[in-house]
Amino acid sequence: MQKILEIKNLTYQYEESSDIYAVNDVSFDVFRGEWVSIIGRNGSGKSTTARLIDGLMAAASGEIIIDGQTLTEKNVWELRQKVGMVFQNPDNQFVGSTVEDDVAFGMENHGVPREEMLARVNAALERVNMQEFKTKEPARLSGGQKQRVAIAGIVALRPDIIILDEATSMLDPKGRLEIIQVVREIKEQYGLTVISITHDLDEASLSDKIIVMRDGKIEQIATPDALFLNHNLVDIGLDVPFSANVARELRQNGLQIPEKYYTESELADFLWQSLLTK
Amino acid sequence: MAISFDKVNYTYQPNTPFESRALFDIDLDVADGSFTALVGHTGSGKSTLLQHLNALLLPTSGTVTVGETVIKPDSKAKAIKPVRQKVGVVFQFPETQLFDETVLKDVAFGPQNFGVSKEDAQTIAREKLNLVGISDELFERSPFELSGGQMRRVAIAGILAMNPSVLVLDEPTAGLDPKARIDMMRLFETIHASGVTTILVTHLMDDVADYADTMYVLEKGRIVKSGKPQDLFQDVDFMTAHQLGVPKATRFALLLRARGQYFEHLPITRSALVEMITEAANHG
Repeated sequence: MQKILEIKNLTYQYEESSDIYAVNDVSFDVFRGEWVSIIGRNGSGKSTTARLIDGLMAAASGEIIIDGQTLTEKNVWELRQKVGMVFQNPDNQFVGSTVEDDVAFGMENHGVPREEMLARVNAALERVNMQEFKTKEPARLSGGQKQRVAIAGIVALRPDIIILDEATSMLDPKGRLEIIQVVREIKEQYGLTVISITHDLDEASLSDKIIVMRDGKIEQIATPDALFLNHNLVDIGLDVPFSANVARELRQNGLQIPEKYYTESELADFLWQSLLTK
Repeated sequence: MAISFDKVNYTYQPNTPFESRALFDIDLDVADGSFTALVGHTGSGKSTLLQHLNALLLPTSGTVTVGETVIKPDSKAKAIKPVRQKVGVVFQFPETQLFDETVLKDVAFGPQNFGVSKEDAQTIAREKLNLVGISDELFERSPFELSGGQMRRVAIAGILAMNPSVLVLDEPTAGLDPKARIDMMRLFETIHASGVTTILVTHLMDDVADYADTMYVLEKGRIVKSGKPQDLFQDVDFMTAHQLGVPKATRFALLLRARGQYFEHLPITRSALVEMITEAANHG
């Protein structure tokens, strides 16, 4: 597999004189077409790492290689076209007065010819299923719809990598699911690489690999299965599934429930069949 | 401190082609010492309503009464100034409002602005920073070097430094990691327990169930339902139809109910759910 992103010994300090590193000697590789989640508590360095990759901030030391090219001050504008970023708060990333203007904005900046721009806007909006909102004002949309428009703006630019920086954290469960679904589809269609910074267990469980960060360092890189089996989820910045909490508390109350992971319906089945109908 | 809305209407840019009505005949009562939740979708009018709570917006018609102060469409800035001190609003992503050189100066700014001496303001700032869990060694740091979660705590300390009687929280845990989210809600619970009337704007029904004693459901600028969370969440169809959903505990109880388990009332918190299941398993 081809490496689309290589991070080598990346370091970043918010203040040069201090000995506190927001990102401390971080190295990892991402392959083309991979879905990688970066998890960790607030302040672990996840978002800083993402901003360094997108060239929004410059690293103190270390190397970022995007699609074979080392990121420098000179080529940051060129390389940034390969990396699209969706931020947490949809309201902070709108510039256009209509949905279609907003999707077109990035392409205007990159000097895409008008004809092609129109075609790409339409295709991107169709892709995220927001075609009917084309002429609407972004402010009038729901959170999930806004994030879909933000994703359309990125899809239209045809990046190689899309970074979701807690892009679903402000959405309700329905909106969250919509976004994940859309990202999965565009990933398949365009062979995109996805880097998702998240606290959501379901979102993280979809990834090929998970990078766990703590205090600016990489604590470990593992597959979702291996990670979820061996860790206190809250401690690595994830939510514990509701069913796991219920099962644990019922065990504490003396009910006999086997020590394994149940989904909510599995737990409901077990409780009903084994404990409630006697 | 109590707040009440009497037939409050609000129209953005009235008498222009952009005129758009955001609130319709809002009657709302926030009892002194209560923990009131305000829920609704984007565009439901939550943010507009919120800005009436401390007179950032004046009603187009109707009145808002905050403690002793009555806010009317033609209220003068001077008359409503006390409201700004008494009602502290923690806006979404409050960390974006930090501005000063050091954490301590930032938090002390508010009280100083309301006439407290620099020394006293810093004493208050230290106390509030400790309350929100910011330790002394961070006081002289720039707020912009802190992590997102810490920055938010500093911003909240800045609002608490005004000693508000009412604390308004607009999606205060958005973007925090799960552990930080729980810690933050516990902090608000502690502040509420010290006698501060609390108003929480949220789309997290679990937080409503866990913390609020009263809730209002807002839709398209109107209050469509209000009451105790325990009562409102019994109407699962209503909450689902309005795309707000129900707490996880209620949802889980529905799974059991679908399998045949009897519930006299649906639980809305995890502890109530666990208790009901334990009871049912032990006594059939």
